[in-house]
Amino acid sequence: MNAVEAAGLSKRFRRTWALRDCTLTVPAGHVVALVGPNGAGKTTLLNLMVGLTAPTTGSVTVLGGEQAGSAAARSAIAFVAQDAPLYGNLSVADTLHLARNLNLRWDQRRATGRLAELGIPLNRKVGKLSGGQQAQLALTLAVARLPELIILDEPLARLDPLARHDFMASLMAAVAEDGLSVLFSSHVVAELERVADYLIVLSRGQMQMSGTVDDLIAGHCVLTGPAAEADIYSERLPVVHIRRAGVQAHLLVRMNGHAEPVPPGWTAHPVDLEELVLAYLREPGASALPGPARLPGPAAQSDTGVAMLS
Amino acid sequence: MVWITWRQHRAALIGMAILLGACALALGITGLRMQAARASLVRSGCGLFSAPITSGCGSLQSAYFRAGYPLTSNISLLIIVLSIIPGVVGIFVGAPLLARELEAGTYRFAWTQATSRTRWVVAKLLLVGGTLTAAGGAFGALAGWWLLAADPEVFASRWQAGQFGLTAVTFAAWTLLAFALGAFAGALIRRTVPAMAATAASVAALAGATAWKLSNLLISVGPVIHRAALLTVTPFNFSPDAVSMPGGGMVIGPASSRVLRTWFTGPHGQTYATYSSSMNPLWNLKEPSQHAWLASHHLTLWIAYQPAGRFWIFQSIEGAAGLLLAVLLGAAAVFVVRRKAG
Repeated sequence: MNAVEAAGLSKRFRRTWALRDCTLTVPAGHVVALVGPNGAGKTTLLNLMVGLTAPTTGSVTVLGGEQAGSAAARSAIAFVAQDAPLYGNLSVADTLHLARNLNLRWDQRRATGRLAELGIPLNRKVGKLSGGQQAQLALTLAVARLPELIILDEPLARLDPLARHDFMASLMAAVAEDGLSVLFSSHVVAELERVADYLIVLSRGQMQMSGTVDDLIAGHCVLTGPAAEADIYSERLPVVHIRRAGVQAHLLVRMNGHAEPVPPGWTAHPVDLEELVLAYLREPGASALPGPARLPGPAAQSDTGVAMLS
Repeated sequence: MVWITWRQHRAALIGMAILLGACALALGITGLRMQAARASLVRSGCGLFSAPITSGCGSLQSAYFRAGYPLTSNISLLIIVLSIIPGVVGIFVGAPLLARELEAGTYRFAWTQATSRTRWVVAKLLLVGGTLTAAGGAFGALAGWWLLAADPEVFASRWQAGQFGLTAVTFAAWTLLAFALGAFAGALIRRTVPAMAATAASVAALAGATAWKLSNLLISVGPVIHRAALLTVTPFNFSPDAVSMPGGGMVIGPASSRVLRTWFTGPHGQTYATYSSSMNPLWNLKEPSQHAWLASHHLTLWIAYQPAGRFWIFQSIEGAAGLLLAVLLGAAAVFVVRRKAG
């Protein structure tokens, strides 16, 4: 089952296109990271998935074909919006009561257990909690709903490093416990590798990359060699990004299903996730989208979605 | 949703309860005092006015007039103040209902739960709107009762625009309508303070239009037409249902009716307006001669009025119109909420 399927999804606000022609197929059972710079359209994409917004063109379905925002979708997907919106003048206990009344499935013991573990008092007003505690409360509400998919919009943005670590640990524990899928957006690329196993890169409203982390890393390599030769080889090879460091140049190369022969005098080594994402973000024209699904066979993968550096 | 609606809006609802409660207390205490004083006046056979000071009636009469202080010292102002209450409800309960959710961004939490946003907003509108309507009806009935106790014959004309709005039916309808206006403004404008301002402006405009024009238009539909007698001496306790004539006379309609207009007809069916120049000779005459003059010219006085029994029909019409408009606004608010893009 696919957690999210989108086809030609676009969203326009007045005259600006926040999202253009997004087509993705996110499988269930993964921790998916949606990465992109500010203004890339991440929040718009997530809002479309949970039904807070309607698309201008295209369509998006969730959890095996349910209309985004439909009753079935809403009861199976828990959403934590940016800055974890909660009612500041309600106490924590009142907030739990409210969430219980608004949902079909609810695990009260789980919620109170988590809050006790985190040291969040039930009778304190939500507005008086720290940012980290509010984020943890929002996550608790999401988890206690027993969803199939949790979507989080930049959950780490306003948290200090310790709170970030605790939050991700909590989230991963919930994933391990319940086997739910997670989709979260972030512009903090550094910590993704430990956590995410599926990646979507969005930039200026358009998708650049989507695929499992393993596939993406396996599909790229970095060629290091003399800077003088960089331009020669960059025309012959499918290079995504060139990074020059003094006399050396590093070419991030996309491997189209087969290993490129390494030019003489150059070395090849695998790319790490952060370098890969940053390289693509620096090259808005580049994209590494999967082609149409193929029947299993000996034919090489085509790179229909690749635009080369010119 | 009942618990949720109460918990989220209890501050506003409690505030309104305190406001209405304080006003109700003031009205209740003074009203009961006036009723008691009036009862003792009636028991002693005294009228409201004109007893010689030496008789026992004088002290009872002054007791009656003191009973309603300070509220009766300026009844017109009191009527205006009471008429503002529905608007206050609309501004402070109606406008923030949806606007605060949209302004604070908490709709991103509330509308992604299993409960649909339609159910969420409809439940809030019905629960809060229903409660306010019931409270408005009770308060309107109290205000109507007080006005009757204060001025059963002398000043009060319940047909007049201000007092027409202070009965159970119209007060409830106006409270609900102001609430619905506030809720719709909040849904549309999405910011609390601008929504409150817009609600204030639209309630004021609607109330003003009703008080100045619409009420009168409504009441002038299909009046009963009768001959009437010209009273040449103004009774001391002039009736509010009377229409004054030039030169100081009066025409009085049936009790508690609303006289809309008066005119004279001549022997060949001509119509003369009360203030037309042909009638000037009549008004220049001294009182007893007026009857003779009318008889010699074969003129008959007519009045068009709404009989007392129709008062509640017109109340119901205005109430129903308010209710219909409130329902439409509520539906519009639901529509805006459903359509809202994130």
